[in-house]
Amino acid sequence: MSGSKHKIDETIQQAISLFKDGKFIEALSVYNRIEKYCKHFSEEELRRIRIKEFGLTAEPILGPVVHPRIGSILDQKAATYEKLKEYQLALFNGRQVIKYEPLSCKGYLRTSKILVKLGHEDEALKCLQRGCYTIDRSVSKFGIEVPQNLYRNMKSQLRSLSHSLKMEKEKASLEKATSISLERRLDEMLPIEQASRSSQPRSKKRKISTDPFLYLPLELIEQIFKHLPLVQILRCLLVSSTWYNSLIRIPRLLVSNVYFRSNLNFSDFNNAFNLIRKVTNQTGSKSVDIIRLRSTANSNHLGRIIEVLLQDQNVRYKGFDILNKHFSWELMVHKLYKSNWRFSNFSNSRYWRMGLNSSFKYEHLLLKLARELKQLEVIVLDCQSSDKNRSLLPNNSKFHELVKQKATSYESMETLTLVNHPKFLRDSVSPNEDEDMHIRPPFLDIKFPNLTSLTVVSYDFTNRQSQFQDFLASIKYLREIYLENNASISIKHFLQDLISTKPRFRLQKLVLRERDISRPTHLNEISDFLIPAINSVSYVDIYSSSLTIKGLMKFLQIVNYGNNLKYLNIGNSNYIYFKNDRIGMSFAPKISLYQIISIANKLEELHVHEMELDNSSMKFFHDDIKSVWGTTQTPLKLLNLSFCRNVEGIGLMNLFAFKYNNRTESNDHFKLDSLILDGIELNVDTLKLLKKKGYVNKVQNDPMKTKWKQYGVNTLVPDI
Amino acid sequence: MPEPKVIIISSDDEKFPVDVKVAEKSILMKKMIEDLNPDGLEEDFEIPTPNVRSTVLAKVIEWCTHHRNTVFPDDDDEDARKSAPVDEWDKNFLKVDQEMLYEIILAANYLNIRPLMDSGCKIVAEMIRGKSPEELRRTFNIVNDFSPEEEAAIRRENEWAEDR
Repeated sequence: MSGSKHKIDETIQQAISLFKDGKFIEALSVYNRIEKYCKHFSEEELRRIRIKEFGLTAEPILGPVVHPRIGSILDQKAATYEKLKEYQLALFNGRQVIKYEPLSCKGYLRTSKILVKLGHEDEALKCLQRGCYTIDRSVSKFGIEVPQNLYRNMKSQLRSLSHSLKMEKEKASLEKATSISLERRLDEMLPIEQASRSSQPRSKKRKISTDPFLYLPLELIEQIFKHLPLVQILRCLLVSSTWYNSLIRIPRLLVSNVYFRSNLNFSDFNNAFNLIRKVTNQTGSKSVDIIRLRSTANSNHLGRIIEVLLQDQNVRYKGFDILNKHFSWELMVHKLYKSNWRFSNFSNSRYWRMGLNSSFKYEHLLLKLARELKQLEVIVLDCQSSDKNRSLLPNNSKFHELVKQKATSYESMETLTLVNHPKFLRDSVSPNEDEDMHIRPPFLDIKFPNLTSLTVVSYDFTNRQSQFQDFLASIKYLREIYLENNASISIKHFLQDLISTKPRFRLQKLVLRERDISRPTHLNEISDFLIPAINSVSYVDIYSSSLTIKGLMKFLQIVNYGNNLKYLNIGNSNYIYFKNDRIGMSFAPKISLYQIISIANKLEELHVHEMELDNSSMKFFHDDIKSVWGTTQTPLKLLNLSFCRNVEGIGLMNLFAFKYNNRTESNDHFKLDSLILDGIELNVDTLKLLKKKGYVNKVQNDPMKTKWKQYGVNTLVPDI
Repeated sequence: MPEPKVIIISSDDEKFPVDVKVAEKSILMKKMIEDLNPDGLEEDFEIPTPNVRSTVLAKVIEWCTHHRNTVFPDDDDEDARKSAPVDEWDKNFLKVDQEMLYEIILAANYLNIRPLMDSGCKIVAEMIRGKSPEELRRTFNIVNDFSPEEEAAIRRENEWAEDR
């Protein structure tokens, strides 16, 4: 005779579906039948069934020798009686489960739940205490394993129940009473089916603390906590078990943006990761929006952290943001190799930002592994030699095979940012192959048809101009381009390229900060103003350019051809001088503000920092602004005069209200929204007066600010 | 003939007659009014709110009346809603005991009055901000039910985030 495991399980399934359909009486009769069947075996037969059919030991560690399914059957019987509101019978069956299977959490959970329903909280508490004690001891003594979710559930219910009972006793002396909240709280903690609950009204009146977690549902708790920083939320876990158990059920609070602190060591990380696992287990949400890692104690700690990130089965990362001086793409490849090229935790990433300690090589591998990147930022933070990194690369065929497979087109990418370390870009005449690796712009051989924003800083485009032309020409919807400090990319060449390749994109934002300023650029070679790709830009930044006045005038006519220009930065121009007081200092021709704003007459922001401007330049500015725009129709909102050290308080007053032959004040002045005056020492009273007179709403003045001069470092490479 | 009113009925059966414009601050009531009176109100229209006590309902209606003409950021604009500071009037208005504050938040959530719910939630967030666990227990009258070992374990779990 056999125990026929299969047949029993099938019958149980049948009963469960009856239960689910609400046919409780029918379900009950099926349960009774299997219960009887399971109980009819002799002890000898049961031992054999346990070993042969279930792969268990002949006898359980604790409790009588029973059929392995009896616990579940009785537990489900209890649940069915609960549905039928036969609470005494349900209780009896619940207690039977404990008797037959003292190491199963189910019996304690079921019994305590029914006891709470019957209003016997004290007994429910005792039941849970007994369960936790029995199971705890067996875990430590015999090393048994229990289902973690049930076990945790049991613990958290024990805590919340003991907490509410404690509160209740404390409250007995207080008069004010509300019963709703505790009941709601208990209901939430216990897996009681919603339908059968309302039939058990509570009569006892209780006074409750003003704990928001007892009054508000989780969705509103989330609405409150979303206003608080992660560190504060983590601190709140310590308040009470109710806070802890509720907060770890809201993944958007704790694990959507995982920002690790700097100088992290592996054990901090591991503790954090345990919490993340707990939250993802609780909520079933496996996805972390961004995991952000800054500095670590040392490179070993970083290595172990990366191993966990790659290998843990519980978490997927939509975004990865790492800026760490020990990190290199080679290290990532090394860890990938060690984890058997398991990349599934990152394969659906949308956003990657990585700071590397040396050049970005084998870059195609990243695009091969992560197929859905929308945004990629790679910043070379340091200019270390790459020998050490090279030794990390695996010498196996899989790696070489992966490296060889290069994609030709990558559809999902929308924002690409590539920032090299400027020190790699020396003025060496003929770089050898190794040096060439450091200065070669990555990805030029790939098409990114959906790119909207491109940033390339401190790379060498010498002998690669035509490749770059093709690269740009393949992009259809580019909106923003940021090119800074690249060898062989000048304003002149950029314009010529656009004229010859006629790309389809129409830029809104153009930043082109030249590297080579040794010769002035007049743009004589450019004869046509019609360059559709840049005719309608609204944002132009040519900080530190080589343009002359003539070149700038032509350039402005091109970029403002569609009369859309609102933002202009011509700070630190090398060959452009504004009119000022220093007569005879230079015979170079001078430009007036009039020349600029009569072309760009919708300009809202003008940045002319680091220029030779002084108090009398401000008088000229005043006249030019008035003659182009008058005093009431000025579109200009912001003027940046930072580091123009010869501009003093009197000059600023002149800017707004200068009158040649009239000492009386008038209201006939124009207004600015903000004035930026960093790097200049000015009297605080002057700045106050500017605001008081209504000339300007905001003044920004940080005399200690340093210039933006150092390419890459001050602008795009963060300080870590 | 006077303008027809919306009559909001609290869980304890108190009736609050208000202008349509006031009632419509609640998206729930607005939808009900529109769905059941497609041609506009011709006579008084009763809306029961079985979850809201009269004292709480009175507060909610006071808020709706004060803000009858206020334009709030779009409900879907999460960022704007999150960053907007709490209106000064709201701050004073919500200086009530904590239980009342929670009930107002619950009512605002149920009646779908996002700006009131946001103000309430932000005020609770401010009660929490910057406080240590012990201070929080005092603020909300909570008993620490962790054993020292549990507390130490949680403390280990939570010292890894960037302080921003």
